[in-house]
Amino acid sequence: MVCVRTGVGIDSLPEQVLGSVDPVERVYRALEKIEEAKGLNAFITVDKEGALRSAEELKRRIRMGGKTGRLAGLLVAVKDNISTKGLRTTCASRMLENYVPVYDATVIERIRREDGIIIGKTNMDEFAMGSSTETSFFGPTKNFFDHSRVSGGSSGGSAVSLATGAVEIALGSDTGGSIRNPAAFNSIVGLKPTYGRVSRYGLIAYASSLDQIGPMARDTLSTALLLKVIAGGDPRDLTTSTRDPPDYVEEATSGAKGLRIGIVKEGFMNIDEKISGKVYDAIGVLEKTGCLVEEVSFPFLKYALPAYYIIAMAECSSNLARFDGIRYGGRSVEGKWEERVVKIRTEGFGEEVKRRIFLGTFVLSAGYKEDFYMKACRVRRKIHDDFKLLFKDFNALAMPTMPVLPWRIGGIVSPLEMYMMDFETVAVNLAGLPAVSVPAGFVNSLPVGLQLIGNHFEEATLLRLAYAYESETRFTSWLRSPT
Amino acid sequence: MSGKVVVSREEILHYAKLCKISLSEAEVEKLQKDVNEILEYFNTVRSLQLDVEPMAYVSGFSEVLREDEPAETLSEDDVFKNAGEKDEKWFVSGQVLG
Repeated sequence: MVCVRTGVGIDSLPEQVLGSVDPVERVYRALEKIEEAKGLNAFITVDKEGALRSAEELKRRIRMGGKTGRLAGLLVAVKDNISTKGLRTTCASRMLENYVPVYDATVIERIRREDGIIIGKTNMDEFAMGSSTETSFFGPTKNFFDHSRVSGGSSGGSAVSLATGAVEIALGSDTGGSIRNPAAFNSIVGLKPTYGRVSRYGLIAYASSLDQIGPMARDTLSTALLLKVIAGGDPRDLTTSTRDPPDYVEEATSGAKGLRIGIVKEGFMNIDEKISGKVYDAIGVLEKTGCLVEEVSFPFLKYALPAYYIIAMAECSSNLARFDGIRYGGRSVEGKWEERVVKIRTEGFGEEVKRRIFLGTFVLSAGYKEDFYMKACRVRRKIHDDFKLLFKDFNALAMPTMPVLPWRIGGIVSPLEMYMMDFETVAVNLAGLPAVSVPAGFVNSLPVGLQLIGNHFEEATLLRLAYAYESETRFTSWLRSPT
Repeated sequence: MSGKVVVSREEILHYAKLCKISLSEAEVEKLQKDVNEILEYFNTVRSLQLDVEPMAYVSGFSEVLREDEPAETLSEDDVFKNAGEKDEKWFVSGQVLG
């Protein structure tokens, strides 16, 4: 059942959305929930005043019988690497601890235009560089189901803010899995759109050829609704596609019967049988709804991870060169230019960010560029082409979202071991494809995610699958009673 | 081509300088260890022979041009809002040469 006013699947939204149409009251309830779950550290900044101001304005408009937008009254959490005018945007870094953007990202403009109420900025890995939200300058975000474990990342705060019920929709960004990973680890829905489907204007860049902003929610239709609002061409981001996005909410409900799904064999190798078992079960549910399922092989997939890290680090070293503390993020320090910049960067960046800037500088340097960066770009082409071949026969590909369960905070010490956690997710970014993670049940009371990958601009196909699967499993109830 | 790349202590210091990051003694040691471990892993890609063109970004869009017309821009106040240090209408960066 879909709410006429918002287009959201009301049977999957929490009671308070239905119980109250007063947006101001809804903001107060959300603030209470945020306060109750404060220990999980999902938010870096809560914008009480801003949210109340938006809610009061909306309330006045509703009372006067004025027109309201598609997100009217829905509470939105925004990852803290997306620029919000007048609201601190830190990238979870000391470097930007006091940075207040003077303009809104395009996605924020679009959410405001549709009357979504932004309640705060969520925790993340510093500059989105991490897979667990542990590299945040503001401390880790904790997993919703086990507070001693990681939330996943880098969009960990957005995922946890949804799981706690504080907000209905959230924005994340995904460079190598940063939307899908925390979605899987907190049993919610996270969709990484096609590269160019959503404007990156106002997203503080990590790796520009891989970064993509995307929607997260507890249920499929809310995810579809937020995607519809943020998708589309933007003259301020010339990599955006000008083709019109379809009505994702309507598309999502059109059934999945007859869609062909390829199970990527390599995605299930070397992972715990209990995890792969859950993912196979989830694919079984899709088969029951009328999808055609077949196993496929993607032997080159194993090269995606090293290629991804080479490219992401190369782009990061270039993107983060702008942080010299002079135009923004700066403090007043003494000394000549070189001394000032070194001091600001040394104190402002955390260890993982420094490691990536360093490696990126190395793989781009004379003598190594051809061997590392250019070779990785060739791997990228091959991965892209191999995906395209598979999409001649299939509407979607299925894999686990994560190869492991949420680990204990501080449990992974080696950087390389941490990078390996992205094995299932990075190929999608190299090829610029859309992918969604949906809840696939629990192992030892910890959540597992099913990842569905689509062809370019086939978000609607992924949402059809996700919705058909949700209708069978009612996975939104798992947040209250993990099974 | 497929030989192992090992980064020396001197190279760590050299690249850190290029990155404009200073490192303590303990950090140099840790970074060297991490970097060499990661580069060894990157070697799996380095030794591949691939007969395809490199792909720097996923295209699908052609060159986009627009009219070169003045449009609304940030106010002077906004431009300086997040500056580390400013002097009237100037960003203060510290002495560059000498």
